[in-house]
Amino acid sequence: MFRKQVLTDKNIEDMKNNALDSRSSFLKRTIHNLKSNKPALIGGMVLLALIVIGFAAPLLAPHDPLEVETSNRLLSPSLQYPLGTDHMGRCILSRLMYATRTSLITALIILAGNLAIGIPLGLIAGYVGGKIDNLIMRVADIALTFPSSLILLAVIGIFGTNVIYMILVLTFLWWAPYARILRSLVIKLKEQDFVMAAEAAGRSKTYIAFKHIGLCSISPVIVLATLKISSIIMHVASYSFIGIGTQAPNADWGVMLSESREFIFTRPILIAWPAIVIVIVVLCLNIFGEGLKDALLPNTRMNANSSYKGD
Amino acid sequence: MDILTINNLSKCFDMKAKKRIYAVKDIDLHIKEGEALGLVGESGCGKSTLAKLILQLERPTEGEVIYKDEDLVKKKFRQMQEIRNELQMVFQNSANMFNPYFTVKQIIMEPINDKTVSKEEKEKMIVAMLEKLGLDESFVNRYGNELSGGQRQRVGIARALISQPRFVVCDEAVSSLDYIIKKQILDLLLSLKEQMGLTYLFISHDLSSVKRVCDRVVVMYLGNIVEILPRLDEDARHPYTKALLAASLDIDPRNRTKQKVLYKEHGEKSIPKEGCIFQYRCLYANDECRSKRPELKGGDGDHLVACHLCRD
Repeated sequence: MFRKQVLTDKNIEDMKNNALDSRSSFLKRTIHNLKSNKPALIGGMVLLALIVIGFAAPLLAPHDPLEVETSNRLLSPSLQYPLGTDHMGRCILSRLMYATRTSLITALIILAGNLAIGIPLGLIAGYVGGKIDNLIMRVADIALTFPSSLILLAVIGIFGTNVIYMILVLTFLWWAPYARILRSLVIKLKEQDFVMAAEAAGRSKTYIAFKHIGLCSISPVIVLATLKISSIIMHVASYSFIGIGTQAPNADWGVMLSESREFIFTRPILIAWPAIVIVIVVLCLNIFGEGLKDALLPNTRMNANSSYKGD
Repeated sequence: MDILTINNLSKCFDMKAKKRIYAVKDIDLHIKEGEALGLVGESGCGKSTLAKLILQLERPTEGEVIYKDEDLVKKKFRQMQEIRNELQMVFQNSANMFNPYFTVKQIIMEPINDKTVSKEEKEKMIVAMLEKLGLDESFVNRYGNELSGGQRQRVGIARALISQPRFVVCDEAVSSLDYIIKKQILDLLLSLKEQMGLTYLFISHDLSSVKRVCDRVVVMYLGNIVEILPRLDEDARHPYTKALLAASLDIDPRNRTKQKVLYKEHGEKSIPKEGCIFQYRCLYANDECRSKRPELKGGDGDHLVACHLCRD
């Protein structure tokens, strides 16, 4: 109880080594928890590989994805064309790489737009409350109830087809879940005991907003974003498939599926390639998102791995 | 010498309601420098609210709190921030007492606002404080939700004392500890009080620990002070204090069978429009009690009672 405090140089040194500031401890803990979750780790690695392949497509692709060579129509896989060629004699592997690039960039732009709208609105609604909260949430309800495909068709009917319209429509319709989840989190968090305790400790409002409310609400948003991006990818692919997203001859998973549709009986392998990539990406995203959820959220972390003490 | 003077302090959470219900009503209290002032009363009587009002964690509806000749109620958030390290609080133990992403070190470090203190010095202070409270430095990197109830409570005490405060509110600071640790913590609180010259506002349900620590005891009922007495013992005069004392449990098995209920158990627990606050549940209430609110006053020095029946 009243034990004399003994602080040798050695254990001060140990403490320094153990000392983690909040950022690194948060990150380290997340990474540690992710490492122990094998499926999520594999999912994350596959995603990372696909992202690298997509963004390095101009360097890695063996052929120009738009180069038409009618004499090489519908070739089987060979050394020159590892996955064969399509109905216009274009290299499928190269097209698939560029398609990954287009699809991922489109999806990421939409996600970034959703977050850029949803996060500030959710924070304001939760913090300020009252009439402003009501207004924002009703706008969110409207955004949620609008069917995105219908709006997109209407926009394209008026302005003509362009991939920009798809990005804009999805950006302005799909931000609502983030605003909603953040609002509810902020409302819950600002009544927590530790927020009042931080105030009692003499901390500023900005500190409380970032260190307490920010830190606790960022994880659910990251998790939601990881799970939502797979649905964005699916929608982008389907809009491109029906011709209101990315336009041919540019490569996109949806465009490739749509082009291969005519050869489904003669050369079914053509439709398999983009489909396989979509399935892999969406599957990996979902597995990774679930893993991230377990790694990030402290209440579920308890049963996943409680032995970690931050060393 | 008073460290804090509370005048006419009231709090009503819903000012728009037709019938305003005050959680704390017209509290006048002087807290003396260096004393341990106990605050007892049943759940929901406004003990914690009063503490939060004193520290401006809730803003009072009316009244003033004088500290160092300044009214805290008039101070803005930033002005309060500057003197927060002198006025600290040990919060009631609960699962969301600490941020789940914070380690014990970060939790305890939070009240150290002084930027001139280096990280190593802070860590030394934290370890020294933890060891005073019977925890060791292995706790530094644990998370709040990895602690047991008693450990959490002690981390909360460490956090409140780390900034060398003058006045500490202990809101149920020892209520979730077992008796051995409870005694240790109470002894520690008392010795720290001597060492650091602290003043305590000690809120508790547990009358025995209040008896152990406090120099003076305030008894609250439904947001009002009903009695201020030097010691919580048989000398209590207000019927509510007597009832509260009678309701405390006794470890002597021979006393178990005795029925000691000194209030109307099924009496209406609401705030009467006029008259004594305790009239609905008091066994002795008469017409005067129902019509006139008794003032808090007393004949002999420190002992103040708000009861018409305790005059003589």
